[in-house]
Amino acid sequence: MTQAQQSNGGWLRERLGGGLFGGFLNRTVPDETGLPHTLGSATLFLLVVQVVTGVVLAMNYSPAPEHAYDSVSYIMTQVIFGPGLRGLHHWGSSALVILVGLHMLRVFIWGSYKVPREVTWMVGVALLLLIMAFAFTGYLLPWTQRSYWATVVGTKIVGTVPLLGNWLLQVVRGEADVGPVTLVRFYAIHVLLLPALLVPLVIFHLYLVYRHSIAPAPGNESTARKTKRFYPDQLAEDLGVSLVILLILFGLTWIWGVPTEVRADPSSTTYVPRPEWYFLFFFQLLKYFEGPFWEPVGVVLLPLAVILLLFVLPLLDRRPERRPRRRPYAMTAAGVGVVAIAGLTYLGGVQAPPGTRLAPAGSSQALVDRGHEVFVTNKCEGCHVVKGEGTDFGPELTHVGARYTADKLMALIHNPTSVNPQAGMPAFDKLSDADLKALAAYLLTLK
Amino acid sequence: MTSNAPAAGDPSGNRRTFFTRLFYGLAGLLGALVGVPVLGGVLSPAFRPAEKAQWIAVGPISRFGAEPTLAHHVHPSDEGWVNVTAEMLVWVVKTPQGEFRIFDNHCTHLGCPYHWDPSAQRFACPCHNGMFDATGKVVGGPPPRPLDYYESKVEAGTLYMGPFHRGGA
Repeated sequence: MTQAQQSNGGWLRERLGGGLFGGFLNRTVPDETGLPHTLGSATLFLLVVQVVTGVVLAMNYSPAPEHAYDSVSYIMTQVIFGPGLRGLHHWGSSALVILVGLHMLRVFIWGSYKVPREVTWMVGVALLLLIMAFAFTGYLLPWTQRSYWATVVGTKIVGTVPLLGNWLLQVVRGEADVGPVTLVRFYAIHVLLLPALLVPLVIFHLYLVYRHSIAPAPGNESTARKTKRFYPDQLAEDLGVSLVILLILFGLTWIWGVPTEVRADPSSTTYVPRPEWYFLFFFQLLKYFEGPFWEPVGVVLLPLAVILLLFVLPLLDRRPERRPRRRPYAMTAAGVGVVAIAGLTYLGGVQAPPGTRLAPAGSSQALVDRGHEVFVTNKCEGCHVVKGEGTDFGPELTHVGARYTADKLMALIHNPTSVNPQAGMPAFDKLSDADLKALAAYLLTLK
Repeated sequence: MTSNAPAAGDPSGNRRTFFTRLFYGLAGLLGALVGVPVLGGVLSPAFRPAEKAQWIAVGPISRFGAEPTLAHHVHPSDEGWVNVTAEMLVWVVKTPQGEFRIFDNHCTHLGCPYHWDPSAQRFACPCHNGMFDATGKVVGGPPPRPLDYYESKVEAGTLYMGPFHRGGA
C-alpha cells in the first residue's frame, strides 16, 4: 500500500471495496427532489426505530398467555424507559402504515413506478405487505382483550375461504382456537420470519433506488436538468423530516402513552372485537359481502385482485407518460382508492360491528361494562386487587360490593377523606357523574 | 470530500459546509433520541435496586445440631413478571455457643455444591477438592474465601435465614 492510499483512508477501501456505500451517498439527485421524497427515508428511519425498540421489548417479553400480559406490565413499570420504548413501538407501527401509504401514493401520482423503476415498485409492494403482516402479528402480543379479539376476528376471516378455509385457519392459528400456540406462532413470525424477509427486501429496494436514481419531476425527464447532491443536502432534509416524525411519536407517547387495556379473556361475551384502525377498512368492507357467493368474493378475490393489480401495475401501465394531468384514469383510480379506504375506515370507526353481544345501551349490564372500562382506564388496579389482579397498595376490592352502598362508593371515589379521614387514596373528582355512577355499578357487582 | 470542496468563500462551499454540519447535527440528535432510551432499556437490570432480603423460615431449631445439616426449603420469589417458588439448600451448623450458622451450599471457588464429610469433619467440594471446616474456614484446596453465609435469627423456636453475605466479609 502506498503512502498516498494510507493517508486517503485507503486501508479499508482496499479491503472492503468501499465504492457502494460511498456511491450511495455521493450521488446526485434531481434538483426538484424535496419534501415529498423524504417519505421513503422517513419510512426507513421508522423501520430502524421499530427494530431497535422491538429488540428491547423482546428482551422483556414472554410469549405465553399466562405471562404475556404481566411481562408487558413489567416493561411498563420495571424497565428503564420501558413506557417510552413501548410507546415508540406502538405509535411507530401506526406511523409506519401511514408513511408507507403516503410514500406509495407519492410514487403513484408522480408515475415514478414506470420504466425503468418497475421492479423498485414491485419490491415496494412486497414491503407494504410485510409491514401489514408485522402490524397484524404484533397486535396480538400484548394479550389484551382488544388484541386477542382482534386476532380472533382477523384470523376467522381466513376461515371463510371456500374449501380451504378450515385448513388455512388451523395453519394461521396453529390450533383450533387463538391460544398459546397462536401466540408463540405470531411472536416467531413477528420477530424472526418477517425481519428476515424485511432486511434483504429493504436493501434490494435501496439498491434499486440507487441504481435508477430518484425520478425527476414528471415532464422533466428529457431536458438537461439541474441536480443536487444526495449527501449532505437531501439527506439532511430526510433526517429533518425523520426528526419531526420522531418528535411527534414522542409527543403521542408523552400525552397518551399506550392505551391501558384489560387482560385477554377468551370467555368474555360482552367484548366488542374491533381491529386496529389500519385494518378497519377491510373489516368494514366485509360487511357488504354476505352469503355463500359474495363472502368469498370480498374475503379472497377482492384482496387478492387488489394486491395482484398493485404488484403488476408497472407491467400493465407501460405508457411512459408520467404527468398526472395526462393520466386521468390512473388519477381517478388513485382518488377512488384513497376515498374508499378513508370512507370505509371512517364507517368502520363509527359503526359497532354486527353480531356482537353488546349489552343494549341504557341496560344495567351496559352500565357495569362501562364501569369496568372506567376502572381500567383510571388504573385502579395500580393500587387495588380484584380477584387476584392488581397491586395491593390500597384495600382489596374483590368483595367491595358487599360492604358499601352505591352512594358511599361514589362519595369515596369522588372525595375519599369525606368518608374516611385517614384515606390515602387520591380524590378522583375529575370523573364525570355518568362515569362515577358506572364505576359504582361495576364495584357493586364485586361481592 | 475535502479534496473537491470549492475554495473558501465560495457560496456553494458554505452551503455544503452548512448541510454537512446540519446532517451530522441531525444524525447525532436522532441517534441520541433513539439510542439513549434503547441503551437505558438494555442496561435496565443494572439500575434495579437490590431486593430487600426477607426472613425465611428454615425449620424448627430442634432439627439442627452440631453436626451440619442440609436444610431444604421452598419459598416464593418474584423473578421479573413471574412468581416462582425457589428451592434452596443451605447448611445449618449449631455452634458450641448455641448460635446457628447458615451457609450457602455453593463452594466459593467456582460455585459447585459441596457436601459434609462426617469422617473428616469437613465440608468437601467434589469439583476441585476445596475443603472447609464447620465454621466455614478454608482448610484446603483452591477456594479463595470462607463459605458464603446468611444472617440467622431464632423466633419462637424457629430458625430464620436473612440477608446474604460473602464469606469473610
